[in-house]
Amino acid sequence: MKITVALYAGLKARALAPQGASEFDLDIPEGSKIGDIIKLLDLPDDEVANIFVDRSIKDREFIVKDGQRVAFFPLIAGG
Amino acid sequence: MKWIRVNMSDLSIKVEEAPKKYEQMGGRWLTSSVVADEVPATCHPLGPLNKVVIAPGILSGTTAPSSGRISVGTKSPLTGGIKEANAGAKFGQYLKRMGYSAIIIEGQPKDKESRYLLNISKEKLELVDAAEYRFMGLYELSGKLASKYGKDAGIASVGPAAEHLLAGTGIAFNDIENAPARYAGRGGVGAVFASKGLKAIVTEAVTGQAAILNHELFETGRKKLLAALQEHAVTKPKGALNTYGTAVLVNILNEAGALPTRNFSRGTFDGAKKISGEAMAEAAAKNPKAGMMGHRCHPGCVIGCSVIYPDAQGKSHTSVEYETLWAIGANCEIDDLDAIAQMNSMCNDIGLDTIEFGDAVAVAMEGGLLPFGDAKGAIALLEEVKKGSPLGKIIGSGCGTVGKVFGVRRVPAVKNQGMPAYEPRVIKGIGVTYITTPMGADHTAGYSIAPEILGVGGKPDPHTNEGKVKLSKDFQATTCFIDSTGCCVFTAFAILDIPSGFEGMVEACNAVTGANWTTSEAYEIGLNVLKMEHQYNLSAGFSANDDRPPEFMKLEPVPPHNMVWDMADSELDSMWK
Repeated sequence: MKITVALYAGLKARALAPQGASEFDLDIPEGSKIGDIIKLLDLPDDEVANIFVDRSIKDREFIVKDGQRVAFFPLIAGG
Repeated sequence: MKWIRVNMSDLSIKVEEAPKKYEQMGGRWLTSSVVADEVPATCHPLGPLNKVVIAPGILSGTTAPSSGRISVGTKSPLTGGIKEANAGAKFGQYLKRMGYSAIIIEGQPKDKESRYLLNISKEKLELVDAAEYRFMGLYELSGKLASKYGKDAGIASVGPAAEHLLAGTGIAFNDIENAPARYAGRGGVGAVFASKGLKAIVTEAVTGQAAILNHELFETGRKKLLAALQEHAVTKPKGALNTYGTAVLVNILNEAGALPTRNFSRGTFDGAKKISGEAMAEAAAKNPKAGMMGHRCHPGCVIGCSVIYPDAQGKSHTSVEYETLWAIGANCEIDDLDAIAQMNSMCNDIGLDTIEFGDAVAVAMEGGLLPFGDAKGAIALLEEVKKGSPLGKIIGSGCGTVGKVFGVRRVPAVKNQGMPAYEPRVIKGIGVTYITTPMGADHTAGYSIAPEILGVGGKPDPHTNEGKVKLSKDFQATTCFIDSTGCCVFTAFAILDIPSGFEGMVEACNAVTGANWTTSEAYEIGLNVLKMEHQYNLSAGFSANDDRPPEFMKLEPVPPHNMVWDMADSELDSMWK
């Protein structure tokens, strides 16, 4: 199945992203958890702090469904 | 404690020993206390009975990290209630090193056309005729004052929009490179300053360290706070704030469906990536001569979240912040980073608060004055504000005024102050802060975004109401204390996760004041300041009915989450019980 991945605030440089893209489609096996995608992309696990799936906060155990948008952030703040 | 009292009615300047009750105060604690004690709550904000109180924080002027905030307190012409706005700048550091803990400006000259400059140096205090600077833009003014008083002097000044006495104006403090870019921006503090006939205050550049009673304890506290700031992922060198500036938030709020867009009618903006911190960092890397990430607003800041953005023509703009990118960008559906940066610099020049301006333009767009996304039209409106045309005066008076003039019901304001860059129907805790803070809608008053969205200091569900009044109250009370220390509110990101950092901040304050506060007592001090500010507003005529969201937020679900504001009024009222 296919999902959309978005990488922000420096994570794209730390991942197996196609040509350093910050947003791209990704084929993953059915039943994949967020944690599996982090491994698949070789993202630095300890640096991934916030994950959003279709605009809502999720954790590494969440099972992603076909067509969903998954966004990864390191620890950031501002205001 | 000494403070400077300036009476603009008779142009007298006195140095006074402050009454003992103020001895340990600084920053917001001091400004709000003096306003509560000396400014009649029902006075006209632009009249002779109102005062402007300018106070550096307890630690300002010392070597405590990121402690150069300066607070401005007054009765707000925008909200009609008490106001404290603060900025990071060398101005207050110099003031404190000269031994002054505050400037109190009162009275009003009879001649409304007169302008004065208050010059504060180690040798003398003087009011100088400043007629030549009347209605001058602040970039030009900064250059002229640097030539006269030295490039390192501290400057507080107000632009033409403030001289038109508009409620959406702030006070500019010059930064290290002398740009008038560090704003005590909100609530019309600029208009009150201008109503006193003041165009600027200059403080002599003073090096060294402000008075400290216990140097050993100060060093212990300073080192603990510094260690926390240098360790935390958000505040450390090459951390998120240092690398991308505050605008690193654009994408995460967009991914959370909580980036207010098109005058608070959606929570996502298609152009978010174009106006993000990542986009600015890319531009700065391409043109390092004109651009810079990790810029510092004042000497001694160890976070460095300020940004000098280089536009396509190679012009530098300091500092393009998240709230500005959101207000003029997503909220107006403008995705042209160069146009937003240009408007940011124009706001700096004429003295406008960028949040209130962006909210006002978005409401005007909804009212049909110009289309959403019209950057050129928004720039033209800024020219009108500068001129002081009737339309410009309407825009410069804030989103509440614009809503009334153009018959727009969707006005995102509380206590007539426009909301900042977080959708309260989706992130409930920040909604409680917007609604209940005595300041009018203000994110910095109690930044619950840290745990609700960013996972700093906890991880409560942003979509639920449960526990959010307590969360906001705790943030508001702690923020009141931090705003009194002179420390940047961003130090909170580190000390929320690293308790020894907060211990260090409090110990450093004890070393300066001679107090013996614990961290719990620091919280209580902040809570008491908050209650005092709330009481002032009640005396000014506010009631529980002013602690309410705009009606449309209860009626209109905001996509993509399709949520409304659904917290009971009685729960909001529990804030003060």
